[in-house]
Amino acid sequence: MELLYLNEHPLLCFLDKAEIAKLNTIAIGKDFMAHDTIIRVNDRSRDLICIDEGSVSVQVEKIDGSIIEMARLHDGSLIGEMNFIIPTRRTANVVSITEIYATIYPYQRMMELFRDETAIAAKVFAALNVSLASKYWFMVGRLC
Amino acid sequence: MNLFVRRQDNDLFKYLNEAQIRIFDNGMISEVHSAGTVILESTQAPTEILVLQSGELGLYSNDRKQKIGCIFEGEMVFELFYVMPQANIFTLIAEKDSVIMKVPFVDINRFCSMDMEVFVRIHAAINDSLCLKNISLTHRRN
Repeated sequence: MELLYLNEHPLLCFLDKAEIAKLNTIAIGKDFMAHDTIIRVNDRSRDLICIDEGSVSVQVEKIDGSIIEMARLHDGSLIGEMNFIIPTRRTANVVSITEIYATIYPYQRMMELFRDETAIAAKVFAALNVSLASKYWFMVGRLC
Repeated sequence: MNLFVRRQDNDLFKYLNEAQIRIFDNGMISEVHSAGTVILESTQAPTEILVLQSGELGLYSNDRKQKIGCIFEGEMVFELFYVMPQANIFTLIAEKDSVIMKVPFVDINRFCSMDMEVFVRIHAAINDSLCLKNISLTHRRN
């Protein structure tokens, strides 16, 4: 199987229309108001979330209770992929800056789909690798 | 990810069975490096994923002032460049006497294109490795 970029979506970029339609059967669209918490630190949820419209702030809380903004992410960004791959806990709060429309891909439903749909699983994992590699590259760039 | 069960100590092949690993046999090369040896300079572009069979490797910034991370037995390095080809900024040094196994990107692509199960399991293994590396950076204290 050859990987071809078929669109610019961070999770669906290698999927064709039929595969996207299958994955979308388990996806949940959700609106958030500005200042809503989309991901809360210490949560155990392993769902993947794609920000389709709007902007979010990725925040961590210091020991003294003050909040540091680590990054701002905008539409087309994928969040939650680290806990999707390795189950630990959410390590940051993700708070909406504007009104948000997000697509949530529930972990358990994805695993059930992937057991029957190897090609979709393969292409989603490849897309996740691109996202993880980009984040690693960004963080290393700040260190070097 | 909980889709596959680990079967091997080698992180790149962790989700493959013996028969699936055997297809890689012809392309893989093992190399021995003494402690202190520079295995790859930042001016050289990686063309293989390296899996450490024994010893310890250190990944440094191109000026070697900043240590980015350590590679321990069974772990892989340069999967980043397999996923996202770009200019190298790392220097890889053997911290201890080390044996590495080189798995060329072209072989990974060839075997992944031949067998969907190999493809999905290799990419799941790389998911794990990149995720752990990101966690090691997000949890870094200095």
